Amino acid sequence: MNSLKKYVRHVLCAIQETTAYRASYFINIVSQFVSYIAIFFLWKAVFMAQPDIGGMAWKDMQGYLLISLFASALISGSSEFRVSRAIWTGNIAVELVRPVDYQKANFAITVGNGIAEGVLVAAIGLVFAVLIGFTAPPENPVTWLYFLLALAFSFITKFLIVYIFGLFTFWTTGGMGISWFRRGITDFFSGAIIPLSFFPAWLKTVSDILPFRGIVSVPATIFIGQMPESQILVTFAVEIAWIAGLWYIARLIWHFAMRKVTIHGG
Amino acid sequence: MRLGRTLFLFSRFLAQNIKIKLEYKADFIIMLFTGSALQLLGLLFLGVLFSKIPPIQGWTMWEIVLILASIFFTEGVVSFAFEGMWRTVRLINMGDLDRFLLRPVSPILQILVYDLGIHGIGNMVTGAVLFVLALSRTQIVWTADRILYIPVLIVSAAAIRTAISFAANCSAFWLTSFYNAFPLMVHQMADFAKYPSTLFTEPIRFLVTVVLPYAFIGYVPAVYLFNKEPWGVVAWLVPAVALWCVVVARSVFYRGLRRYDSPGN
Repeated sequence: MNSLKKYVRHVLCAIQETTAYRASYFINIVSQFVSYIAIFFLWKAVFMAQPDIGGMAWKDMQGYLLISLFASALISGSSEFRVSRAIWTGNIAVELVRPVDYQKANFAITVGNGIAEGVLVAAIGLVFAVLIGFTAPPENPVTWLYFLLALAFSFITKFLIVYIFGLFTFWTTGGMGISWFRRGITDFFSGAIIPLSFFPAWLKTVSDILPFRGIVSVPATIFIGQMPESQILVTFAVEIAWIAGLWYIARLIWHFAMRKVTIHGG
Repeated sequence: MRLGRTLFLFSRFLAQNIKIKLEYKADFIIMLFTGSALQLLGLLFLGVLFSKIPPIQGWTMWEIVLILASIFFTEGVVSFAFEGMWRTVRLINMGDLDRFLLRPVSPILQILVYDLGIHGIGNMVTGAVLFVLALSRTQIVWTADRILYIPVLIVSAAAIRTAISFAANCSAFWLTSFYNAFPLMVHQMADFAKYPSTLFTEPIRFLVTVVLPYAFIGYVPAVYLFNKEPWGVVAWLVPAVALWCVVVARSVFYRGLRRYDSPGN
């Protein structure tokens, strides 16, 4: 119980930190918003030319993009660079001394940021929804339940992927390239800019196996009601398996990194 | 004389930067790979998109690929040569700018070449390959003026992007927060240049043609090269637009510099 308390403190501190630097968070989220506007208009032109693509109508696509914006904006900014910055500056040494598990503490901080950011992102999402005239949220409460669950899985999966990529900084000298690479791969294979159902068969198979689709595609497809219930449960099982797998992969990478860590100064 | 000296210094800075980067081999390879990989994913996106739909508002896939290719290429040139501008925020906040001000060399030059983006090489290569591929799949009537336009476009587009991003980075003189996402947001707006501007609503079109003239690095030149509209010749304004951006960015920097007080040591 006592050990849980430590991590709850981390969550609370992270919420305070986020609200203290709200201007930066705001600009950061608005910048995500900007690239979505470009994508939005591109899709709009596409759907004007062809009202039905792979079983999706324009109003479905609007809902899909809305959730995509929300899910992509949730872990960004400071969470992205926390691990790599700690490694790069050598502050990781301080973290190693602390009587907490680094991976769990990081997750706790990300949850805290996520709660604070989530409110802002949801507000911006609502503005976006009003601007685009989106009026078809799910009617069934069960769908909402599945959606919220999918969003929780999305958050955990994205945290683990960001964290693992952050750990790679132990082998490089900067976090920027790694972060770009991660973002590019995640955006593509999660279905953030183009729904996975539009992929050619071979590419869809690849992205169905990878964990990324849990970040955007799964919650967004559930939200627009295009995933049957039986498939939702199977998908959740796969996602839980991936989360467990990624958690231990991260531990393994950490283990190897500890053998190689060099910290300057002292 | 001054231009010659600037070019000389620039080449020396570049050479030193390359030596620095080569010291970190893993980074070097990762960054080289990252640039290309990301652009290829962008291309895959277009491939999937166009496999599902007819041409968008009269633009075929390869015509849009040509716009993308020229943007990738100039993005590559800018990252390779002037990646340092992305360090401006840090330089200002940490007071490292002091050092630059003491040297008898333009502080702007020193900031711009403070870093070198290896991923720029990946972008340049991908951009060039795509450009050639797209050329063979699109119809351009190669008159003398269109051939002459290509080098003019590359130089001007690189100047426009550098100037806009640098000016946005100079926001750090006013916004003292350590984590400043404003420059990245401005950089992100170039997304609007990747697609025909007619897709967007009036305010956005105004933004990307007048306020941040990104339209001149992708869409407008493409209209001219493909001879889509009679007004395409305005694409020849691109050097003037570039000059304007450079003048504005310069004045933003010196205005900001007047506000700069070093955090001291």
